[in-house]
Amino acid sequence: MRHFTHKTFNKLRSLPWVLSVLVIAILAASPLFFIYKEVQQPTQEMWGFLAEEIENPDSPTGENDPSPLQNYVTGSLLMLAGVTVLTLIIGVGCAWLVSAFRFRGRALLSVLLCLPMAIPTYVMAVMYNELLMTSKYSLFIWVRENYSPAAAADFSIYWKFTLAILVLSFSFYPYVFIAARMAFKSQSAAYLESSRVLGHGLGSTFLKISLPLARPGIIAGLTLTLLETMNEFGAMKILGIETLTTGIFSAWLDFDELNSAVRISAIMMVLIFIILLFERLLRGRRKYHTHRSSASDFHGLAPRKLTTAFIWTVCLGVSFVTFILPVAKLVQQAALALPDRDLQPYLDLVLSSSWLAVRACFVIIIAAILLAYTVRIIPKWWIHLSAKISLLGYAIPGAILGVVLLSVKGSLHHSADDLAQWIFHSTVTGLIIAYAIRFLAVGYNPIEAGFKKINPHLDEASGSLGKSRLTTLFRIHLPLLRHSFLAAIVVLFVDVMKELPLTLILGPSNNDTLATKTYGLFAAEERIPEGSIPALILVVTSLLGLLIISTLLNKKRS
Amino acid sequence: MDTTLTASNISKSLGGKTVLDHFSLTLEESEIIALLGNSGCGKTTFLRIVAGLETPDNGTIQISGNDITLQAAEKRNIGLVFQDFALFPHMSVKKNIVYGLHGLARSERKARVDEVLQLTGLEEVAEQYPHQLSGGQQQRVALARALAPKPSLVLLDEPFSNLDASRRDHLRKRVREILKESHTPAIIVTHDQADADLVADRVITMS
Repeated sequence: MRHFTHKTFNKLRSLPWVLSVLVIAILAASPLFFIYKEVQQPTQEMWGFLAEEIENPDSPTGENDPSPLQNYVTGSLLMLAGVTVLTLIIGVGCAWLVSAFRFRGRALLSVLLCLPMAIPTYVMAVMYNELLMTSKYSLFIWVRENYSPAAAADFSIYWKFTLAILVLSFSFYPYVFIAARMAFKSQSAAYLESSRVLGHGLGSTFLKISLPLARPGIIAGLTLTLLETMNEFGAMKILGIETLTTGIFSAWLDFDELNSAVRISAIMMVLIFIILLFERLLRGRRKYHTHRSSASDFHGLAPRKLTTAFIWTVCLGVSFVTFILPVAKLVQQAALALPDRDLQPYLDLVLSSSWLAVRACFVIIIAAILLAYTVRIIPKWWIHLSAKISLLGYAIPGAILGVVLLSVKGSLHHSADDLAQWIFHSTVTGLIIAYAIRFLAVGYNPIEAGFKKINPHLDEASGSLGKSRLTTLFRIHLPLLRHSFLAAIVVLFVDVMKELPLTLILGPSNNDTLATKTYGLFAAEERIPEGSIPALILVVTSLLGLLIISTLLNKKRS
Repeated sequence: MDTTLTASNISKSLGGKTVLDHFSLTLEESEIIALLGNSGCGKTTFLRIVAGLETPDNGTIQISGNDITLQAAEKRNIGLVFQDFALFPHMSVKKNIVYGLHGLARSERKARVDEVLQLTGLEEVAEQYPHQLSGGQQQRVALARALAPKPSLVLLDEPFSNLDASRRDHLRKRVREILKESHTPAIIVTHDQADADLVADRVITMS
């Protein structure tokens, strides 16, 4: 009897934690259920137009032109393929150069190569458009005069796709670079030395030993890149590329058909699941255990003078093209607009964007702590599963979450109009919920990693001193986790500040953020110098964030 | 007997500290030497200098009369068994052994792998991966991998320190047998007197 009551008591004690995890999981998974349910509904009027091939009486082969939907899919696939190839070459290549060799300035180059993360893709797109405008025009004229107008039209299409792939790769290669750099860095020096002693040179050692061993890390970085590519809206719109994401926006804005937008989302989610499946397969089944003994990490070979010059040229070249050049252009553009500008509106914008981001961070961090702590104190498989489901949002593009929440708003308007008004119009609750679903994983990962480093005996010691789990969390864990928090908050803050598609869809119409203001000035009004001011503020904010993170990481190491 | 390795007056400082000071050593054909000493006495550094993974500040290394002091590690054809064995975790036992045989024709390669597998008694685990093997088996794979390219000598860095103490004597005998059977001269670096006694023909104490 006593045993029974004890057990019941324990269960009751766990109930609040379990419930909160379940609520988060259900909330995070609900967009997928919603998409599934919505696809069962009858199609709307314009869906036929979107999905049907277009008759083309002029076609020499008698074939129809592809449907808009086919164009969206082709556009997305082309972006994915191009970005995969380019980010792998740039990211893995640079990571190998700064890992394999030990030379002066290696730390500096490693930092420089991460900085493009601070430039939002839509800013990168506009700056490259500006930089290459005259070259494009002269080339276009040249092709038209030397070949044919048709060839010039083809040239325009090739140009736009190439530029889009370049812009996305320049923005996203740091994900691959960082993942590959960490993987190379953690490889035991003994593997590489064994390979050399067995008669293999540097190149052969890279291909046969370093690269296969780094594969899981590189694939994880690449997956992140591909998910970001799928999520991309601003740069695609600015460069005139039609993808599934821009398709969702057209269905919603041009045709005013949410059901069609959700249908496109469903197709997109299938593609995303294929990407995630590929990740599982490519990561490999074998888990390579790291070395049993504390084998020394590989610090790199001393290169010859010529090799050092080569590494500097390559890495500095990459950094110039992906960071220095676009930022220089941005500064120049902003300087054009600054003199005759009243800066007060920008200051207000900074404050309101930051306030929004702070509130979103707060909600996400609370949810992340709840999840990570519950996983720790109740290590059951279904809690783990719920936590995994809760993090799914990172794979769901912002545009999809946006239209799903819009549909929810639509149905709420019928049943509970006041509530809908409150969530989506008079407050930013809806937007913050959407941010939370999308960015929960970003906040969760550093916090969970921090929790893992805390010895479980501390929990037991605190419990044996009569403290409740909540007290233990506040008095023991949270103080120990402050570095992890700071890291999580900074990354989240920067991510939320830069976020575009969700904010465009769900942001209250009278309430711009730095991101939507930048995009609005760039895309809709083509006022590049004016837009460059909020864009520059965003870039500087992100750079500061990166600075804080890298200082934190360095502190941890020492 | 011919001399395989002659190291003369090797000096090396690491981080401002002199690790090796005019150290000399000769290794005869088919001989097994144990370098005995406490950690930090420079024995592993000496091994790395012979393998070509470090360059000495002073002195020369000769193999069968040829000066190889400045030759790259990958050109030396010297076998090296790491303390933690450093078996490539993504390759099977066979692949690990083949890895050093890239200069040979396919048929020769296969013949040599079979020969080495037999010598080390690893035929049955040839298709397995390092993490599926016991510590003693991993050690033999590391030895087989080092011996496969018929190196002029093999260097072993604390080869028994990672192994179960109760099995060590048996494994020491096995390693000696394999080295003797393949007529490969070897230098074993160790801090354990028993390693020196049971494996080596000659012991050099470093301080």
